Amino acid sequence: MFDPQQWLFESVFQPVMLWLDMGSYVEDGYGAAAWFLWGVLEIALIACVLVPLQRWRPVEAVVDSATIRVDMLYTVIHRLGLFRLFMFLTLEPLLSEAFGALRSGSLDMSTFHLDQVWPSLTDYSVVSFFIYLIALDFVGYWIHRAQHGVRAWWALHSLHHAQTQMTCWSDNRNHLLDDIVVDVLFICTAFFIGVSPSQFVLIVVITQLSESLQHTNVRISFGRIGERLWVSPRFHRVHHSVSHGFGHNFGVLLPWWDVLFGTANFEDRYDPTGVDDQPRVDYGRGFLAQQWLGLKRMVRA
Amino acid sequence: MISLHHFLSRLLLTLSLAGWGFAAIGQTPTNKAPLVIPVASAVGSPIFVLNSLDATISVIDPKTWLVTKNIDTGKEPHHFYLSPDEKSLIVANAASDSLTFLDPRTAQVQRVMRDIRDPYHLRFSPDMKWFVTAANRLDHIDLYEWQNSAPVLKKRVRTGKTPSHLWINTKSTILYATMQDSDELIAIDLNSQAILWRIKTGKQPADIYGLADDKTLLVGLTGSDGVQVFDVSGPAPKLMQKILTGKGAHAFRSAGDKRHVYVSNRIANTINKLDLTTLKVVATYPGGSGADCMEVMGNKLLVTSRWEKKLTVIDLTSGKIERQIPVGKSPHGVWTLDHVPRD
Repeated sequence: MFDPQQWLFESVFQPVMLWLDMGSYVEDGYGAAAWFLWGVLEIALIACVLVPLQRWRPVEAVVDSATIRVDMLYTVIHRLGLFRLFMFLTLEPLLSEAFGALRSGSLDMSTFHLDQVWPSLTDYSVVSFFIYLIALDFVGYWIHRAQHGVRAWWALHSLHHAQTQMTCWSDNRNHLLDDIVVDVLFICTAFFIGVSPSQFVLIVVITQLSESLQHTNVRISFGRIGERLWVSPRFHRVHHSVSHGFGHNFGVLLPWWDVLFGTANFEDRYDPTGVDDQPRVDYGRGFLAQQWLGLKRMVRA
Repeated sequence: MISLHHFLSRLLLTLSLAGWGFAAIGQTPTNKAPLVIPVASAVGSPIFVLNSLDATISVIDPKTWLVTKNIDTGKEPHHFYLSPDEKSLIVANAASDSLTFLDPRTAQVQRVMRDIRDPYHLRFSPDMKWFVTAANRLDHIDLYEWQNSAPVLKKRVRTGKTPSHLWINTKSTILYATMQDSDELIAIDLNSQAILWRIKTGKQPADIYGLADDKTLLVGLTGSDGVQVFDVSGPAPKLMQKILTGKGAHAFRSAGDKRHVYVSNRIANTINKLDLTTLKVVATYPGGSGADCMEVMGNKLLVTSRWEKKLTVIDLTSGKIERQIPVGKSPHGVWTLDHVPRD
């Protein structure tokens, strides 16, 4: 049976890596092929499922296609692995060195393996997968709260919220520095609780697909019970509401944390999105302008 | 309203069927013979395959060639070794910092040992006194004494960059290890637990195979296209020659006839048979995509084909691939009790 990962790796990634004298990284290249293919699949699902959903029951009409096209560029950069490649070549080796020093140096620090807390149960990979998904989502909730609560961080994260034409392409519209900080925090978390690499891939893919759905310009609610189990487009749109949202609904996948920490808002409303200082503050229209203005906001914050 | 449960169930099913995974750091095993060598006549013991990216072990019935069960193990299982009492097959779960003990005859999990730091490759000394693990990600080798069926850490030796594979001489006095990313071969004196010497190798050295005379070491060069031969009989090692095999030369496995050894070439996707008396390639076999670890069972050569997620069975009589058995993601170690004698 045709295996796209094997084909892509052996016919493209491996030869290119050997040509670049990166033979030591071919196994990372095998993994990168999987990330790339997942990204292609995610973009295909967005285009073939979420875009038709937007046409079916849109919350608002599209009046600014140009800003959506910039969001599509962010999506391609992230989902096809360019940002991941940047991290792999820059910060990850440093983090890897640091973790190695922590674990085998004088500190002799051991990883706390969350999947070993109850061996007879957590030895099952399905169980450990859900434990890690929940744990990382919990961390994601608090990172998101910090993105809103720390002034300098909000200066960067507000770019994500400045989209007044929120669609299924808007999830990756972030300042790159914001992405780097979030990525580093997740890598550190994964190190400290011992997430399996293959499970990490699945968690990221599920998270990204769910986040694309959450940003979709569609009037969909998961119903009274479903809304309390998984973050819906309605739930997340309340978070993006220009007049109503920023103190609510920080959950990434699970609304449980918002319920637990008193930030949940289950009102059935679909407000306009954006930041309340617009248009007084210019968040930029093109990719480079948005990145530059974000840095300036952060410096001033 | 969208059915969340249905959506998630379908998604998870799709993800697991698609079987895409994440890259692992890893290579190969080469288990030295236990004190009592099993004979490869009555084939019947299960074949074990470590699926390094699935954190599972595929158990294969050699009579039907069917996967009879998958066992959950720790994260990133890469290599095996048989315990000194031969009652347990020890699986090293690198990313879980653990060892899983399996019954090599029934494939039942016996116990799990925690807090063995990043055990990527593992090996017992021939006298079974030393148990050694290479911490691939942490740039050290742990030397344990094996006491009452458990390892007791004696020394953590800082090595070079990314210790990969291990070999111990027949006298159980010297440990050899390759450094995958600093391109070195090092020797550690087991009595003093100090590094005796280090020597540069070709690119990305992986598995090591020591000849019975304790004078000659073969090192597979995964970043190159062959095997380097080192003379380690004197106080300082000497590079003697390079044997061209294929791109991505990686792992070794004894043919069981005291004369030949197999070499897998992970990029060329071939297996070579080397004559140890002449140091020449005498046969070449197809190895499957990403040919990695090997096991010899009668006239069958079992090879994990990492990139195509299969165990490849080569008939050594015809020299052709007899069958391929789908296993998990990035299959790495392969082992059976019914292997031919290790030389």
